[in-house]
Amino acid sequence: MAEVCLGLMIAGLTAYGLLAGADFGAGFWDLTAGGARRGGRVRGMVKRSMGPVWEANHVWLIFVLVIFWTAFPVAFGSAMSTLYVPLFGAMVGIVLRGAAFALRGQAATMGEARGLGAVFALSSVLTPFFMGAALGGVAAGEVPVGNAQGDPWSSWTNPISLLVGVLAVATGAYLSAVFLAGDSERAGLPDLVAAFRARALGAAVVTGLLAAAGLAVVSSEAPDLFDGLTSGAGLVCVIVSGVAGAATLALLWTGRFFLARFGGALAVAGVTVGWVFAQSPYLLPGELTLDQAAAGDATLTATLVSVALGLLVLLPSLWLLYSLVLRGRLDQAYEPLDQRFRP
Amino acid sequence: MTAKRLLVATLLTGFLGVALMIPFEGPLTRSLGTTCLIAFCVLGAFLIASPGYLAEEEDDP
Amino acid sequence: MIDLGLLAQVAPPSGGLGDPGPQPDLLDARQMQAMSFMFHIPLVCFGISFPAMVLFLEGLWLRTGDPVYKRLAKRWSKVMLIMFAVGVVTGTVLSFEFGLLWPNFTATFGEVFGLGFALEGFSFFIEAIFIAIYVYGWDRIRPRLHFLCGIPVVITGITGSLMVIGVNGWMNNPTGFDVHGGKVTNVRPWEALFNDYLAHELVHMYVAGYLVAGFIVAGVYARAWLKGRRDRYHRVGLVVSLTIACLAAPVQLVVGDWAARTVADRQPVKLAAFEGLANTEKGAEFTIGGIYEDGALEYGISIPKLLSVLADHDPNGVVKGLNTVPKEDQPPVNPVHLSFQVMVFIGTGLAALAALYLLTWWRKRRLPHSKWFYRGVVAAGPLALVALIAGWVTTEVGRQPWVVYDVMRTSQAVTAADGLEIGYVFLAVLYASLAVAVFWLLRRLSRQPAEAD
Repeated sequence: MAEVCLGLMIAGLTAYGLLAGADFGAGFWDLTAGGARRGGRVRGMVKRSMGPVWEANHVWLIFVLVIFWTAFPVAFGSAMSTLYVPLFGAMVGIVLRGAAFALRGQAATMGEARGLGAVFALSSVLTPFFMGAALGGVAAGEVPVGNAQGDPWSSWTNPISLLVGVLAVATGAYLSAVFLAGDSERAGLPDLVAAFRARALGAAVVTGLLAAAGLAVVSSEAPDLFDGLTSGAGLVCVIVSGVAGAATLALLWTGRFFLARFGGALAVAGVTVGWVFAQSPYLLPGELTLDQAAAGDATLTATLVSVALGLLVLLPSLWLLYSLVLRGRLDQAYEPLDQRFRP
Repeated sequence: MTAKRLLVATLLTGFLGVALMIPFEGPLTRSLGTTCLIAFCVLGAFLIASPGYLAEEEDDP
Repeated sequence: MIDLGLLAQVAPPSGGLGDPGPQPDLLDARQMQAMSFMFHIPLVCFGISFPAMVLFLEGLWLRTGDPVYKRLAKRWSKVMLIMFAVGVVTGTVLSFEFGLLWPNFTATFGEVFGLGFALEGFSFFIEAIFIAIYVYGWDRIRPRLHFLCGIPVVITGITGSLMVIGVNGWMNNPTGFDVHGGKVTNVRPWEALFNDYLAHELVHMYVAGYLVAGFIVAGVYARAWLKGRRDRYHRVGLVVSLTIACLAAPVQLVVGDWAARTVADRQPVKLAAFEGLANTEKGAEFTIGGIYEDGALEYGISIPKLLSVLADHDPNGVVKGLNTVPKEDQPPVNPVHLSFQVMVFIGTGLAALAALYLLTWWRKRRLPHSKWFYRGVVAAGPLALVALIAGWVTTEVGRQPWVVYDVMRTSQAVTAADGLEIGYVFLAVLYASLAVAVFWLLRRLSRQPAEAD
């Protein structure tokens, strides 16, 4: 039962990484879109495609946190208390980002729009970095059991943490560009299709290189983790991820954006799932195994039952939302983001 | 439901709710009392904020 | 049902992570938590009650075809979405703080109460989905279907806070677990969540949700009213929100009595703190105002027997005093006493305002004419908010020094990490900016003519 709860957590984390990661990535493209006039078209597309789904995307995080502290409370307390610096940073980033995005729609001057836009974009990059660094800290074995017993700085500034942080930003940007290319195609805006296709290809290459670098760093810094990634189920996931990544490159090159979405998603999912297999049987490497960390049977059962019932209602609802969105039923009119504003 | 019946129902649930909640404390009276008070709010909203009342224009005094 | 007295005699569990040791940052942690909560809770009020108000308007539109209702409903849905978005974000902060600020609380009892948050999480998820469909789907999906998509938003607005309040009830009234040798065993999560405090806390909070959101919205239209904007659009906005708030206000007094009775019964020391009652008394007096010093309430106005009437429904009832427990088990009296009285005072005032509105309707079938009434409504929104926060201060600070009543102290739950004061200042600046920004946004939105939606 503990494995099932962990599975749910990882599924939720993957969903978060895919969906919210793409949202964060959109912020990255917003940041790097260029000047007000040139970048306005790109920014307009970002805003339009985020609209209906962004809150639903971010609720996955709460789902993950909640299962974590219900099913593995001691691990939760240990990890959160040691990694409080990056997690506090991520938390602040989430607040700023959500607020800036909601408020930007009401900006009336260039100055206001630029200011809010900068807050939105910057926090979209810092948040996944901090979260990735925190996850890297867990993977690198920097979290001991206990109340803030790990080092508050080296737990997340070590090579693995930093690399995972940057990788998190990169995968978000990559996924987002792939999704936005598809959205632009659906909106009938060929100049934006080309813009995002170029970005997606670039991001795919960078992400691939970072992932390879990651493996190299892990091989020297965390040999146990490296073993996990290069044998058994971990290796399978790494291979799937690599193949999917290559396939997505091909799909992007040939302009098949709908399929590219799934290829990209699979490539990223392979990484998160592979990480869990690589780390098994530990939840906090070197400190706490899954079985040691798990709550009692009564709680695990109750959690699984609730999640099952919840999913019964949630999955059809999610399907409804996404099908409405992908069919364009909830699309708002497209507007480049600079032209609305009076100087 | 006619306006008159709505009025009676609103008043009835209101008074009944208070009568059940203040002197008694068992789970049954709490449940019934709370239900009555909520019903009072719902019925009262439909009673007062009715299409007829809302359609009126305000003549400045 | 665990006898709290027995549990208190057992050495309190040091918890899953061990005692944090001396914590100079405990106060910082509590202030951070309080601040995050105070920012989140008004948004919760909108989440609880606003969808129903929007749907009420849409129902009128579907029934009468009058476009005024639709314009209002669309405008209110925009506000609803903004409130929800900020609510999700501030709620995420609270979830993080469970781990960042109180790791030992969560590590020790996470398996007891955690389930509540799982259920709450699903509720928010579904609310996020349907709010998106509802707000983005205006004029894009069939009207009947659109209305139906609003119903899950109403329901999940209610269920979202259901289990969170269950957890708070559990913190005041712990159940569903045993303690053996400092460890938590025999966990019964459903018993923990569906505890004896859930009912009254839930109803009290829900009614509060309608009061806060209702009066804030009514206040916006009352302000316009005072400025002479009395067209149908403004009149409908005023009447719908004000009616709902004025029906809820007297009900809240009755529910408040229920809450007070339960606290008097189960947490007598907390009630004693509400009242600044140092020693157990028969036929206890109620003191308005006053400052608690050295075991006595100075400078207040006393009304004989009233406390016993309120707490026990019996003028000669016995009310337990603070001194039934040692000093280190008593909550800080002045904050609790002050906030309790502020809440009751405002609550009573709101009920009086409501009575005026309802009686005027009853006898004259119109809105009150007095300018002072509308000024009162403008003030009622912020005042309802003050009462809400005062109420939460009363119950949370009143529970101190416990985080889990009679089982775990807040000082045992806090993080051992350093530098919390930096986080506190940072978060305070962040929230202040956020408050300004949201206020600015809503104000700007209200200035746009409704036809632009």
